[in-house]
Amino acid sequence: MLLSQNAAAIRSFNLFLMVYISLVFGISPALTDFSVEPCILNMTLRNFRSILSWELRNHSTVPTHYTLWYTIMRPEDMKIVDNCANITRSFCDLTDEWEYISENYITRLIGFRGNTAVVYCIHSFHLAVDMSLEPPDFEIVGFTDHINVIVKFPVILREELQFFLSLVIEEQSERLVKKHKPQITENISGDFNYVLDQLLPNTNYCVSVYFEPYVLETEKSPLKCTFLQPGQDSESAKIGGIITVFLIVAVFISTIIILKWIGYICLRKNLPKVLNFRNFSAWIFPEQPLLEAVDMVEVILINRKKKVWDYNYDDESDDDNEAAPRTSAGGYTMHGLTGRLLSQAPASSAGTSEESQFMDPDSEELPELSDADAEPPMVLGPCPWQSEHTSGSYERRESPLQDPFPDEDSSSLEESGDKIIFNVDLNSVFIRVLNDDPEEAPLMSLSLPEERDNLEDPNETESSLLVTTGEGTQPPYAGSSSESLCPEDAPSDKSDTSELDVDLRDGYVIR
Amino acid sequence: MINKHFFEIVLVLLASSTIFSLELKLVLFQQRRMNREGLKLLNKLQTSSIQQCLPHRKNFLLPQMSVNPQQYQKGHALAILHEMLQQIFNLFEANIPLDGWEENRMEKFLFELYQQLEYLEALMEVEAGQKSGGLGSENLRLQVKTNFRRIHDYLESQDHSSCAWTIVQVEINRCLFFAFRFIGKLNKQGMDP
Repeated sequence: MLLSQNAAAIRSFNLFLMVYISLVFGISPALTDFSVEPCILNMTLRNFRSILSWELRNHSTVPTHYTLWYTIMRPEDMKIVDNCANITRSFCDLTDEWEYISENYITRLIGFRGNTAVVYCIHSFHLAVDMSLEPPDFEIVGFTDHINVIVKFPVILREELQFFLSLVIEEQSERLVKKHKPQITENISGDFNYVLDQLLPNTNYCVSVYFEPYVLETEKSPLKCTFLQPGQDSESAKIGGIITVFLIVAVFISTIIILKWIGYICLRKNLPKVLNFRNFSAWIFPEQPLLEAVDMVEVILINRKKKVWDYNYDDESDDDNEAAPRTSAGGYTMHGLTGRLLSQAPASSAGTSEESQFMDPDSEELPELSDADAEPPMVLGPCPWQSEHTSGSYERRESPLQDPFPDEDSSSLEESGDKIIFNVDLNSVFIRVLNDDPEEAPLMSLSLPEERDNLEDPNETESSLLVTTGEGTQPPYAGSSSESLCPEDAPSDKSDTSELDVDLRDGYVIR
Repeated sequence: MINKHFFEIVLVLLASSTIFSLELKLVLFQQRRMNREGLKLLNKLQTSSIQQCLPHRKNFLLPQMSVNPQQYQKGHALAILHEMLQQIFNLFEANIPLDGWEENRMEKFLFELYQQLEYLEALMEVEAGQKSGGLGSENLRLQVKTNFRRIHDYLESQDHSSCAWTIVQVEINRCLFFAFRFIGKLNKQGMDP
């Protein structure tokens, strides 16, 4: 009996003592030491979000749901976290609530079982000190000599984190570990690319990405390894080389085509005709022009009596017949032919429808021809000094025509009827004077009248030579009976006729 | 009472800044690096101490984290930073309830803080040679002084209790992180001397 009473007293005393101690030391659920906190709270930066997670130390009484409050070290009340009220999960996203890294946040977590609070936890956090930084997600792409590291960042990175976070990319190989610390800028968003270059091909590399710890040791990401294949880039290099060679060849061919088109290369061998020097010898030594076809012609002198009015009103003087040339009042007898330069054009070959017009050089003094009956035909032949004048141009002759009819009797020219004009190559024309008296055959020569105006007067007494064709090209001197009419001198426009045998001054043939 | 870890945090944060150079980019780089190194060495503030001091919380209206240096001229931004660090230096120099352990840490903290102030002064002299700070800088300095005057008054009203110092620690940490972020924004905006 006594023992039971003593035990009851002892238990009561112990309970009283505990209550007393509790009251003395002011132990209350709100000021419970952290070391006896029924729950363990952890603050973590996960995927750039501030996540508060907790777990219970004592699993004897498990709450059915939780509610989270927090406050700061300023006169503010506890604030309930709306998205973490009456939750069954054991974590809460406080990214939107806890904005400042350097702030002290005091959290209060109460676990309920029904309407009864069974768990009461209070904890303070300084994010710069107490928040653990989980490594970000990343991917690696290996090449021959470099690795491309892609770190996944959120679309919008808070300014606090930009100042607070320091990214580290660790490169591990068989021999060494190298740390890379890329700068995180304000504008970073989305995927962050970083290249690990100057790597050894055919080597295994492992990459780890994490945030440099601020206070607490941060968790490193699991290593992601890749083996740098030596052939990966070689294939692309081969393709690039082939394309490069193709482009070079194409450029070269197009350059050749363009140069050929513009004539810079592969010049034409066909020279213009003017530059064709094949027949150079022929060009220097031109071929002798073909001899002109020359026909022998026989010039027949027809003395036309020119009606001269001798102040005689007798009918006989009106005789229009072509009588023998009569002696004019002046005592001069005009015979022969007078040459006239018809044109500058080269005359056609003699003997082929040639006409020459021989005009009286003097219109005033009517020339008197010799006897028409005894008109000897003349053959003109080329003169030796005229060999150079082979063009066949009709040239004026200075030497006068010799009167084929040396009779003293003057002869009068008959009036010209139809005129026959023909071109005669004097160089190849013989003038043969056909006369009964060969001794009296006058020398026939062509005369160049000084007064050219008279040559053009058709009304004047004229004498024409009918040239009959003979043989071909004949030497100028046909025979004794025929004498070539060659002016003794070189033809000139108007030279003196003093050298001539016959004085043709004033156009009259003076015997 | 000042939490011993507070001085470590402050020391590390200030030590992380190491040497201020005329180049703001180098200062920012060093500050960031050293800041992380320093925070690695610190334990977090004891939750129990924080929980006990929740009723003693005070809003000192110091510059918020969302302040953008773009709204200030370069000379004004440097003036704000310099005045803030200067006030922190004055706060701990005048009120150091230290034990043996905390005294060493406090001296080291103040030494690093003094060096950072010198570097900022050099940058301000370079900026003053180009532009005149004028009345704008003085007004901003006055605002920072006003904010830290509240801290002094709070400590006096709380009799420099541990919770009061805990609240102040939290506020100083907030200011240091603000300073580091402010310099980072200045550097990114290309506002070099």
